[in-house]
Amino acid sequence: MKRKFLSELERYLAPLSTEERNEILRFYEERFQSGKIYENKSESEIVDELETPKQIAINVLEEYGHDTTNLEKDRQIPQDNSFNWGRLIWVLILDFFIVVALVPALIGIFIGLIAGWGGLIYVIFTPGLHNVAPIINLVFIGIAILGLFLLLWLYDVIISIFIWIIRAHLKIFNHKDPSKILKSMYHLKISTYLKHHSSLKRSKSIITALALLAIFIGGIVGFVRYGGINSAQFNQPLETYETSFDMSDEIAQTENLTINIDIYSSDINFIVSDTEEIVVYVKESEDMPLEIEYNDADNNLNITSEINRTTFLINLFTQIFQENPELTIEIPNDLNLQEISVKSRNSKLNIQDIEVINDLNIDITNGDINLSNITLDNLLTESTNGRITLVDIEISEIIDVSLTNGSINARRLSATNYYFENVNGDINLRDIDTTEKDGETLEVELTNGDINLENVYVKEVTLNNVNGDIEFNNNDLTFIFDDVDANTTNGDEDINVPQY
Amino acid sequence: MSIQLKKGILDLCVLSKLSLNDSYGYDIYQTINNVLGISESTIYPILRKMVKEGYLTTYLQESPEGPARKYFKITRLGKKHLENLKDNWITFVKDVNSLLR
Repeated sequence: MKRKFLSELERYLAPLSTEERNEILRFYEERFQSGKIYENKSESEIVDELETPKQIAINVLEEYGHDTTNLEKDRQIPQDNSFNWGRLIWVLILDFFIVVALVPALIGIFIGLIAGWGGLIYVIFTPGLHNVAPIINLVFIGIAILGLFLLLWLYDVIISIFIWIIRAHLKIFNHKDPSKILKSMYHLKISTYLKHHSSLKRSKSIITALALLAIFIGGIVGFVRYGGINSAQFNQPLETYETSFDMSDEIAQTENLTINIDIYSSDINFIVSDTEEIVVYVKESEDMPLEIEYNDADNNLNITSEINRTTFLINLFTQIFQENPELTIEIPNDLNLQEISVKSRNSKLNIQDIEVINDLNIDITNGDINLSNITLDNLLTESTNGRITLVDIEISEIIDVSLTNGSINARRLSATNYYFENVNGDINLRDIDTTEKDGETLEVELTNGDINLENVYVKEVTLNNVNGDIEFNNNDLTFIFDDVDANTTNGDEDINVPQY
Repeated sequence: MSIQLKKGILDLCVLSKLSLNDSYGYDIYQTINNVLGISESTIYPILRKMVKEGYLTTYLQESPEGPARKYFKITRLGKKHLENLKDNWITFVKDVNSLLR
């Protein structure tokens, strides 16, 4: 470094007498040595500090009254305020990349995080949760707080990226003092603000710690209370329940019956048996007495519950070791049901082996939904948190599944129009319409998670994702789709099916 | 400030700095640069020129921490020259100021 610098300088100083030249070189030699020893700088650091050998030579030669026009000529072109076209092209490529990739990606991540965070906030303020499982709520509150901090952090990252971009642009146009402009941008960052307000920074750390603690406690207790996140409720043997209601006397007309369920925090099961009557088995909780009534006029069977609203804190401690109330409805296998409508919070719902039914409407706030072996006209489910599992379902018209947090898994379905919507979690569809292959449309909308389709035979497929991958594979490649439209903002699209 | 004018003033500044105490090249440069913003490479030829003209003498000073440094010391001739330059400068500033008023 030093040798190169000095020999270059020596070359440029050729017009000087030997004595003069050596004098100047000695100055710089000394400069290197004292910089190294007194200021503990490396040779390259010192070279950075100094002017270029050429610039030094020009100044020195001028001082000694030599002509420097030759040196200055080829100095002026590449340096100083001349415009660098090569750099401009680089910046244009960078700009193109920013517009095409970076900005959409950042917007996608931001939308995804806000949607996810909004979903969590929604969960926290869902009344059912406050009444029934506040301890689980701790987990959601903790995650929501961490999510908010993640959002703020991402905001900082975006600002940093833009500072970097602006710096690159200022450099191109030879801006003299970019640090002034950049400094004002640094003030936009939250971390800069926190640096100047140490008490806020401290409270942020405390809140983070509390959030982690809340997730930990809520998670542990939730695991003890609910036995983890486990939806293996299929084929659960029917236990003896405390009360049962034989509805055969009340229900006058079993044909085209509508069953409405509106209860809280229960395990709800529909099963089919050889019996002649509808039997409702109930294992009640004192907090939530069930009310079962049959409405003659519109042929409705209504099962509702009232909640003794207790305060959040009392619930927090009393709910931990309580068991969920259970509701089991046994239906004769030849019964023609008009509609089953289930509205609930914090419940697990199992419906299986029902063959003749028109509509199934499900609206559950927290809890898993398991449906299997059902034949019906329309299936509509809207839920907030939980897993949805659909197996062996034959629908003649529409299936519409909408979820906020959790995964949707469907296997062996057939219908005409399919709609699946989720915010946080995966959507997996397998073996859809494999026999008739005459489904009309399939639409999937997701924000955070992956979409996986395997053996799906529906004429028109629309798959939209924001953060996550889309994968689509079929075994039967002779089935040609009218249209497959797959879009994801941040993720890979892997579509391996033929289309027109 | 024009380069010519600046260079004249540099002579004055260097001599003035050295009239207070002896010093080495880089230190002289830093002191002046803090006020005037000059390039390092202009200061060395000026120092050399003034040695040649007999305004300055040099000597090597060993330092406990590192290699010997070349120190500059103002001569009697140099001091005389400094007085001259100072007078010129003060007159010059006065004249210019009178024009400004």
